[in-house]
Amino acid sequence: MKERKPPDNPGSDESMETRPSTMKKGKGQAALGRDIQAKIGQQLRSYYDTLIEPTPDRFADLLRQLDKPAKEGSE
Amino acid sequence: MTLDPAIREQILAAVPSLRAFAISLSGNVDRADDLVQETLLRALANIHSFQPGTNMPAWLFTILRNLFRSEYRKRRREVEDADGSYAETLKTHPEQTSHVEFKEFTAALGKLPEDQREALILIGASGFSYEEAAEICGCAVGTIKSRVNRARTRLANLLHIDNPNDFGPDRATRAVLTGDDVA
Repeated sequence: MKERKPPDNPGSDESMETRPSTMKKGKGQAALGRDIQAKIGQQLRSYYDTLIEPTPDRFADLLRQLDKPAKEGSE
Repeated sequence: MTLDPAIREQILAAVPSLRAFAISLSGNVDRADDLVQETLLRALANIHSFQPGTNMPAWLFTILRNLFRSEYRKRRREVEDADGSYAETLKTHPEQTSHVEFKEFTAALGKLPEDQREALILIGASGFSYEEAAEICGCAVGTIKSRVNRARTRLANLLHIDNPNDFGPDRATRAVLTGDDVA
């Protein structure tokens, strides 16, 4: 069942996929080459990395506050 | 409410990525923080339905994604981003990528349909498997795969990436360089 495989993409960037060959790619579009996928992946990760910050205190405080009444409480 | 310290640690450990996902979805840090807060409140209120040993990040991402979706439907008109304000709300820039390239990328990301953007981010940035992403989005694995593929293709088109060493110049410029006929 490999006849319809896109020419340029051996599924390299699809390592997390179990069966890339079952994908029906290219409804009118050729699959992207692995270099292009890699470039987009790299851009995407570097974008995401800029958004990662240590957990803001407000969230740690929130969890602590919500937890407290139970510890001091009657149950 | 009694919260198992181990569970609390798991929740806190997931927050940075959860928050990055929220910013990616909403394009707005303040809204993202509100979403994360609401997600944590919901998670704690429903902590009994979380099965210890299962995937805490996926569970939290699912809650956040559903919250965002229901809010998004209400505020769809506000969220439309024809003018690139999506990119402008993001404040920082990575050193390994040029400022221009980064702005172009975030702008292109903002132009993707919501379905495709979230799938691409879950798979390509948040580090979830296709199966996990399908669970988070409440759809089939094949749907996630196809959304990710369409997202990549669309980004490549928007960014004019045909060759990774050629990230930037538009088609006309490249045509001149390679001697192809544009007309």
